[in-house]
Amino acid sequence: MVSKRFIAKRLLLLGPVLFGVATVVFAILHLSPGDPAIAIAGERASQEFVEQVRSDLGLTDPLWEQYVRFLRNTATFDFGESYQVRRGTAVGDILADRLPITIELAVLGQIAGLLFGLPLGILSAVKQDTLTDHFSRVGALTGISVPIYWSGPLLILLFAQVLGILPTSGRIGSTYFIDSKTGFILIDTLIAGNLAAFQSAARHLVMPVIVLGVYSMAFISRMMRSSMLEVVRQDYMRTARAKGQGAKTTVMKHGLRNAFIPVITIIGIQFGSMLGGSVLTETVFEINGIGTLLVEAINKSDYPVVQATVLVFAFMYTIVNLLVDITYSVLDPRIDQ
Amino acid sequence: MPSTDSAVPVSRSRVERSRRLIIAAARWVAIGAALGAAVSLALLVVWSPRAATDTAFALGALVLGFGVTAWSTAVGLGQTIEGMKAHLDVSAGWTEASAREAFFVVSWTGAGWIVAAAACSILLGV
Repeated sequence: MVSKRFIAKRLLLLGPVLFGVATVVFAILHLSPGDPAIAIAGERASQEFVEQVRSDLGLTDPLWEQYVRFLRNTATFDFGESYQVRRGTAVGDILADRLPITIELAVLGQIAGLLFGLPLGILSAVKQDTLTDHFSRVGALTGISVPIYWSGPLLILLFAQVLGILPTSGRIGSTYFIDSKTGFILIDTLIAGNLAAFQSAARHLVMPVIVLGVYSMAFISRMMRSSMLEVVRQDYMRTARAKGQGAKTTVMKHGLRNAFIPVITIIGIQFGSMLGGSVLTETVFEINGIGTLLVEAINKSDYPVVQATVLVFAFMYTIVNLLVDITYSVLDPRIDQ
Repeated sequence: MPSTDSAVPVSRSRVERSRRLIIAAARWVAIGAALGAAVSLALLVVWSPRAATDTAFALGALVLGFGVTAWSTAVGLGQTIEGMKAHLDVSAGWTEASAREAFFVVSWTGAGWIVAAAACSILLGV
């Protein structure tokens, strides 16, 4: 098992990561054009009123003072109140509302990527240089190359406009009203015992999950193929076959577990792309997750919301990578952390 | 009293290593401070004291934040990335140790920079 020292070291690194990310976001927001005071007061507001708003927000203090205040508040998880997105609401409350939506999307996208990417990669390696392998490699390359902002509208055009079998946007049909208990729409509809609403939510999730999952699938299948090709040439695989074990059993029993270790690395590193991808996916499919929140907050110069959202992204990414490292030792106890 | 002969060299090397790290950090903080002061003063030519020192501070914060984030990522994920690059056979000589060293320099330079920019802001009475 992973040593406690290793986990403690990784958890300690969370501090510098979050400090660094918070500092970068703070700097970028203050270097970029756009004045939150004008955004709040309105373009036609008098100069006095704009100055009053600026003073109320603490933006008249020197930048280093604002930075020290920002770090002090962040250290106590006080992200302040939203300037514009939901004026006056605590940023923590806004995030608590929106975060489950993005997590649900990212997790389902990752699951879809694994479900399709792993078998495709294994098949491609086992049937190396056959038509199956060529097709899967071209598919993987296409999946990696196609950007979300292009594949999303294309899917909407095909499945919603031409075929009319899937909804274009949103999370659930407008006729359903589900109380948000967990924030995860699929779980909430099941808790409510409303199967029709569950079906509606699932249908709304199909396209966003495909868009996110395709990229993940492509990466995972490529990695799985190369890893599997390396493993099937190992002596222990040959020995297992020589002892009379069937090809399928050898691959699944001895090959898969060993080939899976580099793929786990990809899954962890890729989670960041998933979160980044969710910003685009949510925008294309009009899903009110943390991605659309970030875009809206940037457009409205809502500093507290932008800062908190990016910090949440960084936190999630670091935690997922810690989990990945822990998984290594479970898959291969020889790995010395 | 038990012998501590074997522990003495280890302890000395640790002290020596810490001493070298502190000297290196101090050197890069000084360089960063010089840069921060230079940028603040250079920007004064075109902007008001407030805008000049705020912009210099934000630029320094960018350097500091980038350095610290990259340093901690190198410490946390460096070996994983090294292993993955070796596995994919795309290694281009990037190592965790070299990345850590480079971002150590960037981080302390940024720290010196923001301190100097803040000091300029106070001295100019902003």
